[in-house]
Amino acid sequence: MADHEHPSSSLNRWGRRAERSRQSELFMAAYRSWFRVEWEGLEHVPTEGGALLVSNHAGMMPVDGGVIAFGIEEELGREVYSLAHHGFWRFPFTGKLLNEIGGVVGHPENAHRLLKDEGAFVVVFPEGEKGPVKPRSERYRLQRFGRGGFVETAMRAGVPIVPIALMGTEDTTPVVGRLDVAGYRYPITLNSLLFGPVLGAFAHFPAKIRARALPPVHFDEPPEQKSYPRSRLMDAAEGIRGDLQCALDDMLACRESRWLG
Amino acid sequence: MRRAVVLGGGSPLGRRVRKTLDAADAFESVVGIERFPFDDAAANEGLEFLSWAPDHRPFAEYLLKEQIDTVIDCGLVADRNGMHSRPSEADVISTMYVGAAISDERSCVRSWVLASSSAYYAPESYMPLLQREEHELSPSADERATSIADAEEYARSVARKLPYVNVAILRLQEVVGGDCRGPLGSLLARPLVPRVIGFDPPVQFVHVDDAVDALAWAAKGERAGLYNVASDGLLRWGEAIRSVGHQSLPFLPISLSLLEPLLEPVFDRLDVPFVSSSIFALLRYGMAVDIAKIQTAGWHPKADQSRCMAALA
Repeated sequence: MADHEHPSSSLNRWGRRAERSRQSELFMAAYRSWFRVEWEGLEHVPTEGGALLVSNHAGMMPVDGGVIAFGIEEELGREVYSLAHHGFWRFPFTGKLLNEIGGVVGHPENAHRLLKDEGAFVVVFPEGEKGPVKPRSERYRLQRFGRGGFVETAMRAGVPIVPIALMGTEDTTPVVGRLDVAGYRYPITLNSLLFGPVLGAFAHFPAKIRARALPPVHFDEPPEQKSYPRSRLMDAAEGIRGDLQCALDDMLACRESRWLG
Repeated sequence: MRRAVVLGGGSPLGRRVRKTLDAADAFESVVGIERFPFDDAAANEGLEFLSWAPDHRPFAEYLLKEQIDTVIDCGLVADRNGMHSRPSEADVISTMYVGAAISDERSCVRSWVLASSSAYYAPESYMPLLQREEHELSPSADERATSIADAEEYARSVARKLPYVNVAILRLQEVVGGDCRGPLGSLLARPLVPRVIGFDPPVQFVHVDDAVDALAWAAKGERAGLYNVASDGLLRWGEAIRSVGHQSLPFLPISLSLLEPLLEPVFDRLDVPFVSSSIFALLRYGMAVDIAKIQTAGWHPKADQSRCMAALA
């Protein structure tokens, strides 16, 4: 097909494809057959309106965002957008590809538009880059949740937060070290040592992934306020971090094998 | 009855603003102001020519003599050929002279509408999808953005000091349609349109009818405040290229900013599109604005992005 014959309406304003791309189909095949993702607690995920989905984060090219986004879309038929570090948009193809599968530059205004104006689900990883670069000894131990900005985003949009604990994602790309380059930190994974930096970023080990959605956290604070009390934000953020850590500990205690679940 | 002047009144945008306000009942007189006459005598009809030298006083005297109460300043964004890609130093100084003339204690001016540009927002990877009026000037803002910011800040300082003058600053997206064409519109007009490999940024335009309508809305209603102006929606650069029926010319994502002063004249002579560093940033990250504020205030665009593309096709 010539360039100008492409359908012009296949991308929405966020750059997301209306139909599933080949990359998405490939990821869904891995979701079903490679990672054998299993969900529990999906009844806690709202069936309408926006919600901020908050989860634990790990790995070099983390699959956690994809697992949640594709999982919710597959299981509940609702669109999910993932907030990602703006650095992905500085390089050719990465930002464009992320856009096409629902990735959005991690900015509070983008999150607000999606949650409030479009009633969408938005995935965020409050650990930020600390999650993917944490050492092996810290695996499945949640790092600090920034300054609680994600709680403020949810409060301002007037939507609940749904914590989602993911187990298995940290075993798909085990971190063995860390590289500090020009102020940025990059995880060195076992995959990249075995398969090289490029292939290793995509060749994930077939760990069994389990996802558990926890009861939604609603807030009494009125939406659209300029600011919210720091103590309230911190309390809520720490409460959610504690709930997620408890769920992870419980899931790990029940796990018999990292490959079979 | 009110009396208005349109600065930059001989430009494609200024001419349309004059015509629209002329047809409005509220104004008994609308005069276009330019610094120099055009070569084409027909284009000089309805225009007056005022030298800014040596300072703002000739313009202040003119405002007083003609009892002008409304100034629409299109000079910052519109030149004789359409739209600037970059306001010249003289344009920014002119805007400052307007402010100084309005500040004359004998002045009758009660409404100043400044047509500014969304080039204020520097394209960056970390920016949100839609830029809002309250976003601060980016630390990486180029010369174009800082010139616009300087002119706007001067207008805002006038508004602060003269509370009886309503100062409206309208940040227009790139205007297309009629004879108006900005940097992206000029690229889209070429049969081969540059496209940075691996990027498909959001872009947005304002149709000239919407731009004129918004400026007239601000002038007629004596509006005050800072507003983004764009036609409805946004589109991706690849989609824009397809919409105008042209082919894309992919190029590597490498900026030639250091060689810009040397290469630009050469490319111009060869009639090959030169992608300056500011356009390069636009073609990587794009830029779209949020028009919720002006919509809440009562102005709504009538055109959408597909009509903007039709105007370029």
